[in-house]
Amino acid sequence: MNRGASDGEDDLILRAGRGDPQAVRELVGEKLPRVLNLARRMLGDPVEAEDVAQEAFLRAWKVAATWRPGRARFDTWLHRVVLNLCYDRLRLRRRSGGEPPDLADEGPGPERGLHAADVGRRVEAALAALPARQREAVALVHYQELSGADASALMGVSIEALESLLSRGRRALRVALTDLRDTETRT
Amino acid sequence: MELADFTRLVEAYGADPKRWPAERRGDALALMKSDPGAAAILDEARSLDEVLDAAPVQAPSLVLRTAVAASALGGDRRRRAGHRSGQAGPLGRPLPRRLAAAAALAAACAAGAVTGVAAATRQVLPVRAVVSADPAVDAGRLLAEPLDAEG
Repeated sequence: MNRGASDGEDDLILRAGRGDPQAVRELVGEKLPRVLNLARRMLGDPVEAEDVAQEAFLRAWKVAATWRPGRARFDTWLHRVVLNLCYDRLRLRRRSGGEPPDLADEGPGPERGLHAADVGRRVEAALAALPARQREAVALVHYQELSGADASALMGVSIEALESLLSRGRRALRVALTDLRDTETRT
Repeated sequence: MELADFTRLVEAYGADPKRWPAERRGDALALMKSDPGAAAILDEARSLDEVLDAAPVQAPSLVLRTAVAASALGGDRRRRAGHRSGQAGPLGRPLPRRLAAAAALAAACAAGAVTGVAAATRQVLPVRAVVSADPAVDAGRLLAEPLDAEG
C-alpha cells in the first residue's frame, strides 16, 4: 500500500501479533482506511466494505504473530487478501443475480445539480460498471497509489497487461463521466 | 520517448507524474518540455483524474476501528481464557457470547480504541452488529470484572 514498507513495519506487525495494544492501534490506524477504501472501490457498497475490512484484519492477526520479515511485504499481502475477499463477494453477487444497491448511474440530467455527493455517486457507479479486472487496476494505481510494478505483481499480470487494463478502464470512465469532466474543466 | 509513448503512458497512469513508472518518468517529463502536443494529452487525463478523485472516501467508523482492534486483542484473550477455563472450544469455535463480548470489550479498551459500550467477537459480523445488543452484557460491569471470573 504505502511505498517503501520498512523494517519498522515488520516490527510493528510482529508486535501486533504478540498482542501489543499500541502496535495494534498503529497498524489499524495506518492500514484500515486503505483496506476499507480498496474494498469500497471494488464492491461499491460501504457496508460490505466494512465486512471485508474486518475479515481481512482477522486474517492479518492470524499471520501477524508468525510474520517473517523480508519474506513478503505485508502491504502487498493485505491487498491480496482484500481483493480475494472482494472477488468472493462479487462471485456471490453474480450467482445470486444481485447488484450493489443505489449504484445506478443516472447520467447527466438537466435538473440534476452537480453537488459533491452527486459527483461521488456518479464516479462510484461508473467504477462499478467496469469489468472487475479494470476496476481492480484503477483502484490499485489511481486510488491506492501503488506503483505499476507493485500493482502488476499483485494482479499477477505483466506491466503491459496492467497498462492495457488501466487504459481501457480509464477510457470507459472518461466516456461514462464526460459531462462531469466538462464541469470540472469549467470550474 | 515519442509522443505516442507519452500518450500511452498518460492514458494508463493519468496526469500525475508520481504515478508514472520511475524508469519512464524522466523521459516523459523531458518530452513535456519539448513537445507542445503533450499539454493537451495531460489536460485530458487531468480532468479525468480530478473527477475520479471525487469518489467517496469512506472513513472507518469508531465502531469498525474498535471491532478490528478488538479482533486482534480479543482473540489472544479468548485463547488464553479458553485454555484456562476449559470451557471454550478449540480455536475458532465461538466462546459463550458473554465471554466473547467481555474479551473483545476488554481488548478494545486496552487498545484505547473505545470509550463507550462496544464489544466484538472473533467472528466477522456486520459492523453494525458488533456493538452488542445483548442486554445481558453490562459494559460497565465487564470493565470492572476480570475475565477469569467469567464462567
